[in-house]
Order: sequence, then structure tokens, then C-alpha cells
Amino acid sequence: MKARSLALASVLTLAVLGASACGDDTTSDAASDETTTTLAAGPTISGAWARNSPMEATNGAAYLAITGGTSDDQLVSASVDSTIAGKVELHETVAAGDSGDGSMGATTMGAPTTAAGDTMTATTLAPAMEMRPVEAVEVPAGKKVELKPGGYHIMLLDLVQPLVVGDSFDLTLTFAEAGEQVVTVEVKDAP
Amino acid sequence: MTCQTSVARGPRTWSIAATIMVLAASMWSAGCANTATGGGGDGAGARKLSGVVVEPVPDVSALSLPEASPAAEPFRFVADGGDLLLVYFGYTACPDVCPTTLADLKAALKQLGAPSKQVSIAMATIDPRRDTADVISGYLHSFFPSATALRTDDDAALRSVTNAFGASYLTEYPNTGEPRVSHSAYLYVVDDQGHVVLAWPFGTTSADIALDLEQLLA
Repeated sequence: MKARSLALASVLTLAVLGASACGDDTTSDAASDETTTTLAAGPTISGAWARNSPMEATNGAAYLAITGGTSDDQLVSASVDSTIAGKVELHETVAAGDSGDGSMGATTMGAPTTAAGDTMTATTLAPAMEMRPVEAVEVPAGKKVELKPGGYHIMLLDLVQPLVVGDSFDLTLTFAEAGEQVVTVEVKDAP
Repeated sequence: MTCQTSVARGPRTWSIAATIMVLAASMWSAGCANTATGGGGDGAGARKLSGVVVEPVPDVSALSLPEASPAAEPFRFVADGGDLLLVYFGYTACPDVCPTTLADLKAALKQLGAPSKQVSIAMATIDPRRDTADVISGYLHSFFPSATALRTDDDAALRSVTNAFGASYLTEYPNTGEPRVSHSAYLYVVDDQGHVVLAWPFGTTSADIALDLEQLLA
């Protein structure tokens, strides 16, 4: 009896989640399975893709959207099989100089580099962009966080072979609270 | 927040430029795109360009960089008569910004159709230590088979070119770990006079790039 009421409660919770999370409908699968009452509490992933990579490119990037679960969480790491890439890191592309650690941007890109004399014929349009590793990506409860070009991305370092359009691979995401989730990443040439 | 129509010289440019850069993506998607005039605009009814017009217009006609080929012949930043030359400064280990920009450009040229024959492309590596001639050429040609890859080990030469375009980069090779690279992420349009007539910030859509090219070529 206890198990049944717990399951009922979880179904109700899922119904609320489904209405508020605007994510995909993976929660309905969970709802039909009384043994997986905790699955829907974690973040849900949608639209995972990676851009195809030229043969000469050593690195690639994967993108996806995360919809927060019932409580705040953090994406803390990601991994792929060693047949795909040697290393995976969470990165963010930022305007150089914006980086919180100040280890690089502030002193180097804050102003246009004027060479000796007056060789500059145009003002530099904008601060440069740079990537920096991030410790974690915050995933607030019920909020959608997008990892997309020019922002957060999952960097695939030391690609074993080029990422080819039409291929797919498994990506394991590790959340601080919800633990691991495996998603399939489609290789495409555009979102 | 307003959209900037051009970038003037002077110290205030930095805050303006920073604003443009940081907000570029959202501005473009929010319908704030058509801010630039000039270039090939030919009358009051002309659509405004999506890119940024730099003022004064940079003249890069006297500059060159070596082609990333065994002959390493100097490549001049001047388009063929009536055509346009697109110039990008990037590197192949860049997983996010560079391939996104090149893929968007590829999509734009496809949308442009036949007039894309009048558009040539050059990309200079800002990471020559890792990007050998073969690497930067192969990388660029995977996007654009007829594009010209440029590479030099002479940092001063590269710096004088990027300065002239209004581009910036910083490449550091620490003793251990991954090199650190940052770069301005504009794609520059050069005309047949060697004038940089337009610059697209990162995040400009392929549709906007195609429309700008169509207008500049008209």
C-alpha cells in the first residue's frame, strides 16, 4: 500500500513537472513505470548535438539544453568513450577580460594593441573572445539552460577521429545531485 | 540599449565595442540587426546591412600575408574586380567560435547561390605553432575548397595585418598545458579597392550574411 501511494504521489509530481518544465516528454515514460519514481526529479536533457569536425581539427564541441529538475543542481563534468575523444571539459566562450579568474584576459585584451608608431588604421572593433574551462554549469530547478555556440559548450579534446554528419555517440553527463545521465549526441553541421 | 551603426575611433570605442560584442547574439535574434548603412547601399530604399561598418574605413590594400603553401607566396587583401574577399582570423583547435562562424558562412554562401562565385575567402591562423601549413589549409578547405589559408611565423607581420583590420588576438604557449588563445571573432568583408567595408560579429545569422553579400555585390 505504501508503495502504491508513493507511486501515486510521484505521478502527481510528474504531472506538475511536465506542465512547468517545457522540456521533452521523457517524464511520461518515467511516470508509467512505478519503479523509477526518482528519475523525473533530475534534470532532463534535450537536443544534444555536436558539430562535424574537419579532419585537421583536434577539438570539437557538443551542445545541448538542460531543463532543471525539482531542485537546483549543477552539471559538474562530462565524459565520452575513449574511442571518441581523449578528454572532455566544460567550457564557456566569453569576451576576453570578462573572465572571473582574471588570469588572462584583463591584462592582454583590454585595449587594442598599438604597434610602434601609428600603424593602426582602425580601432579594434571589440574585445576578443576566449574560452575558459568552467567548474560547473548551474542548473536551477525548473529552468532551461542552453549550451550553445558562443556560450557554454562541452569541449571534446583530442578527437580520435573526425566527427562526421550522421554519426552519433554517447555522452555521459554528471550532475552534482542527480548523478549520471547518458545522452545520445547527434553529429550535425548546424543546430 | 540601442543598436550601434558604426564604430568611430577613440577611447570610448571600447565600451561601445564591448557592448556590441556581448550583446551581438541577442541583438541579432531580437530583430535589432539592420543597423549598418553604407557599403553598397544605393538609395533611400536600400535594406540596411546587418554587419558593422568601421569608420574610418580601413584600407588593407597594401598589406599581405604568406599563403600556407610551400611557395608561401604573398597574398594581398584585395578582392578581384567587382568581387568581395572575406577574411577571418582564427585557429583550428578552436572548437566553438571558429567552426560556428565558418559553418554559418558556408550556409550563407549556399543561400546566396550563384553570386557566391564572386566571393572569395581567406583565413589566417593566429596559432601558427600548432597550425602548420597543411593543418590550416586542410581545415579551411574542408569548409571552402577554394579558399586561401594564410600563415606566418612572423608575429609582427601578423600583428600589423590584424591591427589594420581592427582585429585582435592573443596566443600564449605555456610550458605546460594547452596554449591559450583569444581572438576577436569578426568576419571581415574587403572590396576590390582593399577597403574593409563591413564586419560581421560572431552570431550574425547566415541569412543576414547572405543578404548583406547580395546587397554589397549588387
